[in-house]
This record gives sequence, structure tokens and C-alpha cells, in this order.
Amino acid sequence: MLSFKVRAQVANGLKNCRAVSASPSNSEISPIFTNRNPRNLEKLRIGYKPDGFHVDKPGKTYWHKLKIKASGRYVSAWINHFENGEVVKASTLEWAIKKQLYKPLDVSAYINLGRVLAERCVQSGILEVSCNVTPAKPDTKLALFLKAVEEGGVKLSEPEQYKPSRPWDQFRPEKPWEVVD
Amino acid sequence: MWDYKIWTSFKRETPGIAKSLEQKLAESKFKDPSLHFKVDIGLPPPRISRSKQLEELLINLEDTKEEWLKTAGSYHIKQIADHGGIFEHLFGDAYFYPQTPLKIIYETEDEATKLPEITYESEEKTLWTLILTNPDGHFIEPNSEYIHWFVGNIPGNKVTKGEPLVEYLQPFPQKEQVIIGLFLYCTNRINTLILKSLKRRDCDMKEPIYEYDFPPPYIKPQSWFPLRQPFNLYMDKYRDPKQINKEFLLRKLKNVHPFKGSPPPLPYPNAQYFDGYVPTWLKLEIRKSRLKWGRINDIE
Repeated sequence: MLSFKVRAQVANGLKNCRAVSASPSNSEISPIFTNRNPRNLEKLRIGYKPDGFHVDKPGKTYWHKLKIKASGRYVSAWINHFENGEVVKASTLEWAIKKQLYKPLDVSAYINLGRVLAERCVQSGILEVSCNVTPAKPDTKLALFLKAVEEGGVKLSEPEQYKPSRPWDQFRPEKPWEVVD
Repeated sequence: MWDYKIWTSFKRETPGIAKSLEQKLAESKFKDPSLHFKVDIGLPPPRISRSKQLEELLINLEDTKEEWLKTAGSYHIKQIADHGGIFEHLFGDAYFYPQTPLKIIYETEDEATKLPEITYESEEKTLWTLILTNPDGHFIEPNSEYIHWFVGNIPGNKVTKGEPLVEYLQPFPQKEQVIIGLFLYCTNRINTLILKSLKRRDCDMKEPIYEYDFPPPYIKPQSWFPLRQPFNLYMDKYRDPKQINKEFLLRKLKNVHPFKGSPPPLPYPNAQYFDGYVPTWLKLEIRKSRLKWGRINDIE
């Protein structure tokens, strides 16, 4: 369970007050706030992220990772979570996509697959995924797919996990929640 | 008598050697190609790349989504709902595949203060219940939900004609709470709605700010004879951190003038002489404080 401690309280403007039985006064709220959403810590950059071994091939360290696989006839792409496996997926095998395609494995299939996958990711709240596929040339199918995913609003890199600094550490890295955009 | 002279005057070369009419005409029409040739003065013909053509063949995403919701959508939605722990937190061990997709439209994307417009497909003589709940934001009990909206006895898909049991309350994310998952379910249907950025609701309550409580670092039990350990760094691990910070603060305040303030930072912190004999461990400590390394950051 994750717990938060009340640090400070900031006054907010008094407008449109509405008596709600669910909203307590400040004296009633508990000093420890628990968010049960298992994705919350990952969004805050403090959730556990596997480090892998130092001799591992790169690509083991991620919360969410974009994967793509082309068979002889269709192409599928999905988002892998390090614990839960496949969480969001799209494939030209699906009737919904295949219905509108001319061929399920050509350039337009790759681009449209990227657009559909990006839309599903954004609607599922996955806005950043790690991706360690690098296309050979900028005009290949794979490169155009990745471009379509990025244009759809999904960033193809994940931030690093924030680890709390110990008292004897040289530096104190900035905490992700103190960064003001 | 046939005169030989007359004959010779008519005589021509034999066929094969003499030029034919065609050749003679060709000769008369001959034009030198180095002087008489045609020039293309038009624009170059358009070059159409097949791959570029294919790049422009974009499918309609709305149609795709509609078809997806009718076919594989419910399986995919269940998968992502499990990823967010929705079924676990709402129903415990129960789960289901959502079958009626809900369309939720807010007037503006960033503001959820007003009622959303909700549409779904249903038969006319059926009754529905609509619940908008947030399983992650309870201020008092960690395993409870906040109910944001509860409409009962909705005839068909006319949400406005239902009986509102709980009035609409806009979502209120905490400062550190980035993700807000709100779940609308109609009788036995579920739909997830992720709201990225919501303006905080104005109310008479002060906004609570939380900070994540990290577990303290592991420090191994202190030994009687810590061999090969730096005495100052080793001892600092077992001292009260407040006392250490106080020492750093006192050292800092020693150089602060009450009216002129603190001295300006050193331009070249490593290019400073040490007065007299200074032991190595102290040299390191002084260097660390000049460069703002280590524990000094806790008071800065």
C-alpha cells in the first residue's frame, strides 16, 4: 500500500460552494492518503521498474513497451507491461481495421495500425511507452508506423524511475512532483 | 528502223542500280537532323510514387472504433480495465466483459464541471442505472469510493429522464494524483473514462497536498569494531540526522552577516588554499561543503 503524508495545506478560492456529504472538512481527512490504482505510482515515476542485469541486452527496463510483429499476412502491435504482459493491442487481423484496408501488410496498413494503436493508448491513459526498435531507414514501414504512433499522441520514451536519495548521496535529484510545468 | 541513238537517249540504269521512286522522294524531302529537330518545351511528366500514394490511404478512425466496439472491443477493454485494477477494486473477485459502449461527451475537453452528455444504444422498454464512481480518491477510508453521480430508473437511453439519486459532482484530483480513473457503469455495463487534466473544483475546503512517504534506507547494524571504515562517514550513519543538519546549519550561519546576508558563492570553489595543516578527512569535508555535495544539500 502506498501512503502519503500531509505536508502543507494551501487555501483555495471560495467560489461556487456546494455542500456535499462526501467532501469532508480538512480536520476530518486522514493524514495518510491511499491511491489504490496500481498505475498511479508509475505515472508519478516512483513505481518499481525492473533494472535488469548489467549485461542484459537493452530493452528490459520498462513499465510499458511498444512491440510489433509482422507475420506473413498480417501485422500486430501491442503494449507490453512488465508485470501484466499485453495490455493494449491492435492488429490488421481485426475486422474493424482490416475492413477498410486494401492490403493488411503494406505501408498504409502499418501507418493505419499506428494511428489506431495510438488512439487506444491515449484512451487507456498510456501516454508514454518505451520502444527499442530502431528502423533502418526513415522511409521504411516500421519508421512510418512509429511516426504515426508519435503523431497520435504517444511519446516513445519513458522517464527514468525516481529513486529517493539517501543521506550520504552526492546529489539530491529533483522530485518529479516538485517540477512545475 | 529503230535507231540505236534514239534508244540510248531513253536508256536508264537497270532496276536494282537505278533509284526507285520512293528513294527519290525521300531524297527530295531530306532534312538535316542536326538542323531540323523537335524540342519539348512542356513541363516534365508527373512522377507518382506508389509508396507515397499508399501513405495517403488513411482509414476512418471513428468507423474503426465503432466496429471495434462491436467486435473485439469488449475483450480489449476488459484487458485494460484489469491492468488498472478496476474490477478488483469495484467488485472483488467478479468481472465481466462490457457490452454496451457509452459515449461520454463533455462540452470542453479540459473542464468536467458540467454534466456530460451520455449516449448508448438500448431498447425503449428497459430500465437502466448509471453510476459514476472514483475508486482511488477517498480522503478518509482508503478502500472506499467516491460516488460522483447516480441516476436510477433511466427509461431506455434517456439519461435526463432518470431519477437522480446523487447529483453530479465533478472529479477533484489531488495535486499528486496524476491519473483519475472514473468508471461509469450502466446496470451491468462498464466504460472507462480517463480524464487527463481537470481544473480543481472551487469549494470551501483547503486543498490537501500529499507527499510520498519513502521507506528509510537500510543501514546495517552498528558494529563495535568497524574495520576499514571511514570514521566520520561511518559514524554519521548512526547519528541523529537532525543533529547533523543542525551542525551544517550552524556552520553555514557562522559566515552569514545579519545585515549584509550570506557571502557570494565562490567562483572557483576548488581553487582555495587551506590554512595551515588540515587532515585529509577534513579537507574532503571542506571540499564537499564548498561544492555543495552530500549532506549539505539537506539544509540548502
